[in-house]
Amino acid sequence: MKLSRYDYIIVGSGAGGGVLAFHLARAGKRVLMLEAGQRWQPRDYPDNELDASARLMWSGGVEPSQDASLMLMRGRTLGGGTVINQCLLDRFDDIALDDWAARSGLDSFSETAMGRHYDAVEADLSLQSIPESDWNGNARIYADGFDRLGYRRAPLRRGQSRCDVAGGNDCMRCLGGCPRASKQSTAATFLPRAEELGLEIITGCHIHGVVHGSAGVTVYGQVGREQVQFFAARCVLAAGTLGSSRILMNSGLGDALPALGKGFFCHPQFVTFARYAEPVDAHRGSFQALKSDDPRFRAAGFKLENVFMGPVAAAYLLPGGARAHQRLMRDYRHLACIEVAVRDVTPGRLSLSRGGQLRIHKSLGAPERKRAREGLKIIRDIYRVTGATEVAQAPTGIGLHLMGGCAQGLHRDSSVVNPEFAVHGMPRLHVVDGSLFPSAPGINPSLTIMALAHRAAEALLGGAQAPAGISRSVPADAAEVSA
Amino acid sequence: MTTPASQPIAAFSQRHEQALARIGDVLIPGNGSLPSYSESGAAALAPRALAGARPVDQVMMLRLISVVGALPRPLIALLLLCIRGGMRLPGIAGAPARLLDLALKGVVMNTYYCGLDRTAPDGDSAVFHALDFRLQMQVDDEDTK
Ligand SMILES: Cc1cc2nc3c(=O)[nH]c(=O)nc-3n(C[C@H](O)[C@H](O)[C@H](O)COP(=O)(O)OP(=O)(O)OC[C@H]3O[C@@H](n4cnc5c(N)ncnc54)[C@H](O)[C@@H]3O)c2cc1C
Repeated sequence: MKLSRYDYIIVGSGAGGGVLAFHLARAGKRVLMLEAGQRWQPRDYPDNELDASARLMWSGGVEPSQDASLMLMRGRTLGGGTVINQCLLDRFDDIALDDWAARSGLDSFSETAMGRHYDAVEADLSLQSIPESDWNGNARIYADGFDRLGYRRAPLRRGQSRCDVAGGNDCMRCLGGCPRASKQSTAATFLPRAEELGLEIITGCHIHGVVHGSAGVTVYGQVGREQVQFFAARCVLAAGTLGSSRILMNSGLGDALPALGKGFFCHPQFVTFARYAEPVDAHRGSFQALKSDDPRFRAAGFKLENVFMGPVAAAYLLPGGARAHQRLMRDYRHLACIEVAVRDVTPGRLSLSRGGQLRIHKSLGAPERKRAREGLKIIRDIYRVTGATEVAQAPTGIGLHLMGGCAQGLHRDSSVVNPEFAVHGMPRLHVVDGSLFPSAPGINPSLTIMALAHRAAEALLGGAQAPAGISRSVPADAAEVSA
Repeated sequence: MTTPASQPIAAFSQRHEQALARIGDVLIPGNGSLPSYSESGAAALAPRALAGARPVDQVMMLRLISVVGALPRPLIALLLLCIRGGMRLPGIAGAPARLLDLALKGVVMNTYYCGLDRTAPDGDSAVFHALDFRLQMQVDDEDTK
């Protein structure tokens, strides 16, 4: 079979892959993107939770950890997690980046060094803070509770351009893809621009493995039932934490890369509902408007999220036997919801079963349980001071921010990817997605994944200085990335 | 532009549907305005809901639905009660209960509360009527350019 030759193949089209594809295409590179999910026109995204789970997410909705204490979710569609996420875009602070610098040995993890990359990515997105005029009843309860108890809160910043909440639109619909293309997913932003610049995309293409050679990388997988192979001078895995780790393990690289699959984090989240006498209508308008901004919470390792969900997710998370559960569901409009999101410190591990299935070993350690307990106590206090008539705690934890597994760092024994974003010992094979994270930041990850993709584009194209003490293993390409 | 296809699983038979409806009726017996699970016809949506699951999980689900749905109703209720209790066990000891909860409660809630039933007198979703739930989203051609 004759293989087409590309400068770059990018596997995965989410926060990392989407941004990187744009910058490589803009630099004139011939780029092929391979994505397991399908391409959707915005107005055709599913309008119900059942189809959104089955058609936009891996494994039909959730993937449990080995002990099933956490239900993990990730997007499988052109645009990846950015299509199904809430698009809350925050920069990391020094607490997160200093920890990364210490673990990885890379001083490029600092607010100053990352600032340029955040600036560049933000310049290509429409970012809006949610104004008080867009608050719904759930946000009011959250704000009231925080104010009464003396905790600091702040408006959320979201990637969105024209939601028209004042006109009556309900952004919860966009958790199944935004039909107005207002939410700033890569499918609505970086990918169409990259395609205009020549990016080629194949969707429905599930990659199984890679073979690294001296002249390039062969990527193999399948489209439908057909086995396919592609070849490029370089390959970038941007298949997300679970996807990229799995591809590397399935390629037989586990022995060569002792840190592969280690250091998996997911910001475990625990949802608590409360019932109020009056309708809350937590599902209306901007269903997330506020965030906790209290240094005490940051120091204690958790944040409280003003959040809500559709009836299917609420029904799954609400506790109780048939009649009690049904009663709570019938009062859906009277429910408020706050969750505690924990900055996890006990690392999980990813592995493959003999049959090639991905296994996610992630248990809640004592620190995570303590952090969750502290947050849950404050949530109950908020509900108490705001007059809830009943409080219901979800029996299961969830994980939406999947991070680590291919950590970036200096040394092969503790990391998988070098400062140039190449897999240790494989200069033509790169990783650019959330799997690079050396630890859990305790902050929404996707803006930083995008910023790292911008930095990776510089490294690949040769526009940035190699970090001190690191020599370039591959001659850098000529073009420069600009903001 | 057609929407990307996702094949409902073919192996889901009439018997599976009946078995799932029996399980669903224990979890959602109906109250006042909320129809029972079987009245809503939600079990028929299971193949569509399971279409995105891994093939190995689809096979397990079909087996599980057949076995649990064949039990007498009081035993189904007892099993679900044990699952709820078992979920509290920490670590791997609680894993079977949590996985059973994900499988059984997951598929029942997903098919019932998704609003795809058409059992209200006006042909709309009786479940969403009872919840008084509707999401609004105005989409103009201009928006999606
Ligand atoms: C419900 C939800 C809400 C969230 N809300 C927020 C939020 O508000 N703010 C925030 O910062 N983060 C949020 N996140 C997390 C955020 O979406 C992810 O952290 C981010 O998208 C990860 O980016 P990534 O590039 O690592 O991978 P992804 O965006 O997951 O992209 C990976 C892509 O690779 C594809 N892929 C995987 N394996 C293969 C393979 N073998 N072959 C081909 N393609 C493959 C996948 O289909 C996917 O499209 C949320 C997540 C969820 C699920």
